[in-house]
Amino acid sequence: MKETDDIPLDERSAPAPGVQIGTALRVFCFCVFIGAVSVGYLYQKNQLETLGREIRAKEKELDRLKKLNELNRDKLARMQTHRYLDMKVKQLRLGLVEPREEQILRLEEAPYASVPRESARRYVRRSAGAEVAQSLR
Amino acid sequence: MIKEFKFGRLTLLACLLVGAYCALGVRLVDLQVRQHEALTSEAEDNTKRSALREPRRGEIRDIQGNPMAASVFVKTVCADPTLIGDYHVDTARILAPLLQMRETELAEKLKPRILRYATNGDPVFNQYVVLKRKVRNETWERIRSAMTNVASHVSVKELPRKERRFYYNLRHAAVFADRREDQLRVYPNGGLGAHVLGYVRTDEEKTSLETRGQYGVESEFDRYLDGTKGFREYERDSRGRELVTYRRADYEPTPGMNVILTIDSGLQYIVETELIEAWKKHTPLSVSAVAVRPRTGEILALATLPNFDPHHPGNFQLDTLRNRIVADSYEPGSTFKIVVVAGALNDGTVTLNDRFDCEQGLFRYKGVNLHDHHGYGMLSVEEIITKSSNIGSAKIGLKMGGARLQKYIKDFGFGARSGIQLPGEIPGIVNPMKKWSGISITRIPMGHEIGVTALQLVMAMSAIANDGKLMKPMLIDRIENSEGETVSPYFFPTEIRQTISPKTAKLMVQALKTVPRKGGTAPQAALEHYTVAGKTGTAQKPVKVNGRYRYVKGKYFASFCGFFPADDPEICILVVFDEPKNGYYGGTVAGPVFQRIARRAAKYMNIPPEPELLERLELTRLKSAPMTARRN
Repeated sequence: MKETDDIPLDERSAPAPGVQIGTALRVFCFCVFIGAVSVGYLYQKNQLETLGREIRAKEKELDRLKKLNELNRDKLARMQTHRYLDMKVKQLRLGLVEPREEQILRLEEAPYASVPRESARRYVRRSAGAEVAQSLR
Repeated sequence: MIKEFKFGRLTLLACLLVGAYCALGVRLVDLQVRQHEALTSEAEDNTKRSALREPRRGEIRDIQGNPMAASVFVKTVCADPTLIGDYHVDTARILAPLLQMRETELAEKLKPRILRYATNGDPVFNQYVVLKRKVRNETWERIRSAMTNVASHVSVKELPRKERRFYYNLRHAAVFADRREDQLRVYPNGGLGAHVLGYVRTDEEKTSLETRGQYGVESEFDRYLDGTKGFREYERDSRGRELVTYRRADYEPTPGMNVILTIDSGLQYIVETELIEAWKKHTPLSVSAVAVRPRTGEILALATLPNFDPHHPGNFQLDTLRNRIVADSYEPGSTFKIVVVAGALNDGTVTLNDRFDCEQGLFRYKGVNLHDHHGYGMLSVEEIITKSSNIGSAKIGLKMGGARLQKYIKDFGFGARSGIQLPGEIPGIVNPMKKWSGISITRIPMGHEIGVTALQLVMAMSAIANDGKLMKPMLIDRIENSEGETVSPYFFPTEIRQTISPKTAKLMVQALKTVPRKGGTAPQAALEHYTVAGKTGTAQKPVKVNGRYRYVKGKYFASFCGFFPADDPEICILVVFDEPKNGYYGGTVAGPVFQRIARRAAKYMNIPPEPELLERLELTRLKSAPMTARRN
């Protein structure tokens, strides 16, 4: 106790000469590690947030495009109806009429392929002017 | 002294800190343990959301893949009148042209209204008003942008915060779209094939708006068209934006399946336009037509007038919504003679050359007179068909006997539902023999005392065209998923039974070919390039007079049912008029309609003309052409 009282006040507040560099380095590394982990965590969180926003934006865009597609499909379906086409032919005065039978040239290469009555392949469907014979399912 | 002071202060500080931590700890325990349940649910209410994801209803397409019914997602436009305040008139003025509603009606809806008074006496205002349902997305976008211009004369920046908030809400939150997704059923062809397609209805449920098929294929195949709902659970931030990171469950909805009909919209259009023309000429109560492919039983067109617009079925009388082809039965008249003659030929009771005395048009049986339209003497069985003699067919019926006649009636599919995939089909009326009167055996062969549907009749005629094989009517070709893959392999042509032998069927075709010829009852049904086989029908209509049904003059069912090319039939068409004006004979009223439909259908279906008829026509044309033209 006595010895302590003899030490001048300046000397007592001065840093101890025996600070161990190894310990300080370990503490520093630990702090850097904690800091890096925190920054990494924040960065990941931020990335998740940003990507989430991007996903949402893309989903909205996809939704918008789907709706636009629906709209266009609806328009196309209307424009392909026989009623609309008939109306347009009249409106534009195209003067289109059904061809007379003698105006139709039928090619020999594609004769009328009537499906034999006795055959199992009797189910005939006309598709875009061509005949498709299908086996009975 | 200093040391004591420091120690005291530190102790005090420590006590305060410990006290504070204890208080916090107590509060923590209170929040996390005692109030855990309540606070958890409150927190979840604030952040967690779940939303049902509506599947797109499947399409109904024709055999060529053209959509006949499709769905588009639409909005239900709603408003919160409490956020609109005194601007309800201005808002109504802006929205009325976009929503195509009356301004006054809209203003009335947007006016804040007290719903009730709370227990503390405060008024509770209505905060949810549906302005219009089924608003297309593009219209909704225009509404949103138009709403930003409400009270545009007000400069918000200079206003106090509370008022700024009011104007912000007025422009961005007062008119909103309901979170529940809704669909609009679109029929690109309008009323084309309305009785086949049916229509849909929207039911308002708590969490969703359900689109349900009400009639026709929409109703019958609702379970396929409907699809499966998806759902999403997510969290949102303080601004209400979804936090995708915290999305818990996300199940995509499965779109409804597409139903592919055997109907060809091109042929359906031909049939309906011709029926409209016929309607203008004969102004009947109703006119119907069915086109069938005899070999398979595929229904290519099915139309009834008056029809309706499936977009607005509520605007039409209930009567027009009924599909008369399957839901109405009528006395077919002479078209039914095919049954008795086919049966008698099949049994060997008669041959086509057997002759019957047609009593010069008046036959008295069991004290009751039976008339023919014209007086005929001896007629062969073929001529009985050609001339459509009632007396002749009655005598064939008598020769054949009631039991055999009843058997063939049933064999041809009368008195039983055909099994078509449409709702509301009736079996028709075929009385059991014990209920027959003494003269029934002479009346049934000419198509009286029996009720048939138009579909049964056309299928019976198709059976004759198809070597005597009665096919099940087929309206659905297949069911596809949204990717276009077939998922239902069980729709295929089905033979119900062999009603008559192929040989008898050929004899019947031979007899029926004479009907649309000169001397037959329907020369106006004949085609230039194809041989037609068919039968007319003109039946007096029973009308209720003084509580009893009586046949009334001037009220008829007129019909023609025929097929072509007669020896290798591609299509069988039935046309039926209910109470036509300006003529009533099947041959003169329904025959020409059949002819026009058949002529256009042949071109549309690319049915090549019969070579003999084509050659004969070319020869005739060459002979009649002027010499100069021929030289050229």
